Amino acid sequence: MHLVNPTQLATPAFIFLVVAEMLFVRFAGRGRYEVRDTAASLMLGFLSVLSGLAVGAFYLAMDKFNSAHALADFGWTWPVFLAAFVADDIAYYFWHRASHRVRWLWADHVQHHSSQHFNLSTALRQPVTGVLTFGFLFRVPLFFLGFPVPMLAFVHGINLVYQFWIHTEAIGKCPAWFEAAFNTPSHHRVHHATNARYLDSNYAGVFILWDRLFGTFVAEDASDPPRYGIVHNLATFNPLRIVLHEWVGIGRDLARARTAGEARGYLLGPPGWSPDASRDTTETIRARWADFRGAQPAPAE
Amino acid sequence: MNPLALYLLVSLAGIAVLVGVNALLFGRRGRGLDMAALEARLGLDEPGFRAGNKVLAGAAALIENAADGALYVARANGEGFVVRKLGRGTLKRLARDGAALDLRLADFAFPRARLAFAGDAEASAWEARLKDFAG
Repeated sequence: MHLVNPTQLATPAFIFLVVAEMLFVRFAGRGRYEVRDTAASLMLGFLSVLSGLAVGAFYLAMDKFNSAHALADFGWTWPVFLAAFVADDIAYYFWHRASHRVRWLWADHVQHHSSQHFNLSTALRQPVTGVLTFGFLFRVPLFFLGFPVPMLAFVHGINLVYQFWIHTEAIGKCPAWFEAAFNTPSHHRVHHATNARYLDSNYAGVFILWDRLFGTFVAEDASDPPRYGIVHNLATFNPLRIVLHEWVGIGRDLARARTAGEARGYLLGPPGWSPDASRDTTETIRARWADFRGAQPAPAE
Repeated sequence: MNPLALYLLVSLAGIAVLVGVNALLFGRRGRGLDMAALEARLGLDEPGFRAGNKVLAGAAALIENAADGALYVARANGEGFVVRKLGRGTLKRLARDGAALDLRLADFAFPRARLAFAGDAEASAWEARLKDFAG
């Protein structure tokens, strides 16, 4: 069966909505846009389309492989579409979580987080080097289960299109029932924030239920507005530096690694891992804040 | 025309439109670096941060944390700024150029900063402090 590519189909809507958000930000004063940041985000989006062709080739290969080796053939019915959508979203959650906890995957995903802005153009700041990380292997179990490969490609596209609108400061909170079940701008602002309490949380694609279920959910706190970007922000808008910076960091660290254990830590440890724990990881940042708060005198009754 | 080539062309045209609209609506408001904003940011990012010695030197700044003596360098980046805490060996190169100091960091994402001081004496004082971090 031939299915359209949802992200390609949605591209005109992306362009229209970015313009609409720019107008909103300009006249309502909520949110921020900066031309060099926007240009960098959009260039990364464009480059990711080119690099995504390699992932497309992987889907084609899986399609051939699948017809001979899948455990079952679920066929093409609406319930199977729905199941594929949910299964793909779970796979997305685990890939996304790993992408924040394993430096090898983070080197790619950090490109998406590298803007200090949070607007609809940030949604299009897509990583370019995903094919190098083999992150798409997180979806391989779905192929083996028996979902048709074109169906998985289609529902994954729908998932990515859904995530476009949650990259905005223009929307505050959605209705409570929606915030409870779905990923929303509020939840995703937390995900893009560098505030100690927000680090490494809200990995969901569409259903925030996975974060609630697996203990990674953090609610946005109005008293602690998100500060977007990464722990060590980039002093550049150059797309090439944005794409390469963490890979260069890995290369430099591997060159100075003294043992196989150190090399493994630099590659597969959490971002910021170092043998002497001298760098910042989510854990060390949170520990510093916990120590500081613990040392403060208790507030008077 | 090949549908993929058409899609890529439309995407490039879309990028040009969006960058143009962004420039039209917001212009280039390079605010540079603002010491008050830098202090506020470090207060949020570093537990117990208290500003000590500090200097805004052109499009870059140095600021000390009075609580622990740590030194931070910041440089303007578009409408905002980017900060790094200096540690031993983080400075790959420190060069004096009259009343200015050129810093090259061992950091691919923050390669350099130029501190343009008000006078030679100020530059000398900070140069002495920064030598502790040269690799």
